[in-house]
Amino acid sequence: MTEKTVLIVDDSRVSRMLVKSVVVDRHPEWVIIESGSGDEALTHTGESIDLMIIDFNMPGMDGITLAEKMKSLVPSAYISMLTANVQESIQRRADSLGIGFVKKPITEDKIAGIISQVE
Amino acid sequence: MSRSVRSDVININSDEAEIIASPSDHLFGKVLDLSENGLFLVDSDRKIILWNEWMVEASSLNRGDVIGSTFVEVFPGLKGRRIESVINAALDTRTASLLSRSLNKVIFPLYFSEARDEARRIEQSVTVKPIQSDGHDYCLIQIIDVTPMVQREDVLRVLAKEAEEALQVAEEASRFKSEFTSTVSHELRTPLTSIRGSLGLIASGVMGELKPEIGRLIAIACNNTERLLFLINDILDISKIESGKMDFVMGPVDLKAVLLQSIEVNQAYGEQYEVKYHLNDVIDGTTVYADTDRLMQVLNNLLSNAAKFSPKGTEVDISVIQKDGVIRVEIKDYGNGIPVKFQSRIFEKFSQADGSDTRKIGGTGLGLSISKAIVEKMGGSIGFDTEEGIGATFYIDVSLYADV
Amino acid sequence: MLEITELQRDYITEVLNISMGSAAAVLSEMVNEEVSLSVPEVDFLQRNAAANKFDQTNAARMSGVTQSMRGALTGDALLMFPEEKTLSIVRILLGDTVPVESLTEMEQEAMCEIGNIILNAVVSSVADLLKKEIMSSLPRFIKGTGSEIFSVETCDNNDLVMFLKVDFGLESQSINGYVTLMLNVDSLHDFISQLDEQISAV
Repeated sequence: MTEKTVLIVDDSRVSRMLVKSVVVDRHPEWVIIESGSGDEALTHTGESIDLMIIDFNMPGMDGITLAEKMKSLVPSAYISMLTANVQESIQRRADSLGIGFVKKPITEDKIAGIISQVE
Repeated sequence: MSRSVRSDVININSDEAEIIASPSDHLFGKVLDLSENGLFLVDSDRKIILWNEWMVEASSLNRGDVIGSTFVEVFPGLKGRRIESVINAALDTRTASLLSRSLNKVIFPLYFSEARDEARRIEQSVTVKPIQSDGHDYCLIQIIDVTPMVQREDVLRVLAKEAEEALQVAEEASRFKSEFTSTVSHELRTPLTSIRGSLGLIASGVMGELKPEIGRLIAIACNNTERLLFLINDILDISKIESGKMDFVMGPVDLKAVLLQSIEVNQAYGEQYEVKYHLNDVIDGTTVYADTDRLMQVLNNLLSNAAKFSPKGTEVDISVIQKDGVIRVEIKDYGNGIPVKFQSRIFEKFSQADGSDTRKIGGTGLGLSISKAIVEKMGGSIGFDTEEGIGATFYIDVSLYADV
Repeated sequence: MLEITELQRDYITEVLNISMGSAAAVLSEMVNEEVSLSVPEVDFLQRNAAANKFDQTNAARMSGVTQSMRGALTGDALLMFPEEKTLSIVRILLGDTVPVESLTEMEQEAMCEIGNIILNAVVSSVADLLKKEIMSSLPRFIKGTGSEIFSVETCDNNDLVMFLKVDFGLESQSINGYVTLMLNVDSLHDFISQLDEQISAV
């Protein structure tokens, strides 16, 4: 089993805690990086990231814009949106970027599903 | 009448099942059937357990056909629609919901006629309410017929639209009139100016000595050309004011300086009527908020009017009064005053006390109406006090500069 | 003002934003238009402070929708917008072309429905947080100034209200509204302790 690096981007601390707890539960050895905004997340592109879980509604840069940038900066990472905005238009944009789209609220099953993409 | 309603099939006690099965035998059943609204009840299994007479008529479905069937079985077209999700919400989370006609163009397939004619569709406002009884959850759906309201509002909308279009046409016409007036006046002024110039030259004698009778005729032509020019200038001002094209450069204005200048300009005019202007003490440095040129225009108009209507050998008194940040300039004459029946029309366009006065007194009858518009545009007001036979006092109120 | 920790505030905001997301999805499906709803701010204020906030931030009158709550919480839930904004929301959603001075009956009803969707989302997420049931009534259209709406003059108990700012995004413009829940002190304490329990479970 290899050690993976996960980037969690969400302006809500509680959301990050929830996601993190599921990841740590399954893979205590994985490295987890948390960011509260898109701009902050972009400072971590130097590290080798395997998985990104990104919220859509954030102050400043929105999640889709961030995902778009990340797609070209870290092409090897698997990216999934995790969002309260469940409108079809957002889902379509995620689909066209070729990234995952998971609706909030956050549950263990949903996070496990995202993790399985890189396990 | 269906007798298939059994309390073991649906979540309801036997007394209530009895009422639902044959409402016309029971008081409460009759009440439900007499309701002017559509009423039906769904239990937690989404089965319809009550269907009032209004529903029977509007849906053309009898009680026996619907009671015990699920909501989706009765209305297959509504599967996955918002009405289904709010019924679920009422049963699962006990929330009440409203479905308005405006946001849900088609709610239930209900008609005024058995033929299900689309033109005879009932416009609906639907409410969905949770009910608990005997430990069971139910959901009451009420359908209110809002067809008359929709029709009434449609008519109102059409009327509002027509009124707006009529207003646009009227505004267009009024704008055209203003533009026309303004263009015509400009076109008239140019040739008239050259006529006056030529007449002036002839009258002055530089073109040669005139016979007295020709000199008299030329003088008449000169005076009337002059009057015509004044009239055109006034009409241009009016049309500028009406079309909102008159520009104002508002700022601090030294009132005393403007008054002195205005008196000087009118001095010669006053002499024609043998009238003198007398300015009472004005505090030096009194500064008002106005447009200098426009304020001067108003004062010139009031001063020339005062001289015009004063008896020979009298004075026109000009005073300045300051009160609560408002400056009042009063111009008082000792003429005949303003006739009572004319007082209400004095600021109207082309109004003069007596048509026959016009020739004797001169003027266009536009001056006061222009003055009023200008003073009001500058945020002030204009008015007068008068007593017949004793005189008239015209005043304008403008703001003190410091207070603006 | 009741002090809540940043973490508690973060948790409530997140929960409300999730329910607003689904309310927005319902609205956008109904009107065929992208609608976004979010709650950028949550506060607990006293009734008169909430009224002042309305009166100060919006010189104009407010209009909107109210629903009463029964069960785990007893009181009223309100959704308010500055009066002229209410008009633009309805106009954008209904796409009406005729400018009429005020809302007609049909439009008031439409506003009630929009409010109903948003308030039901708020109330049910609060009920989920409390793990209790809150029943809500049908919406009613109301308007007035802040102090009229919160009946500051006639109501002598100065209880706390949960005060949410709501961003209603429509057609590239964002309209600010407010949702308030009148809570009594008991249910408020209940609410906070439930919140702590759930945060510590994370």
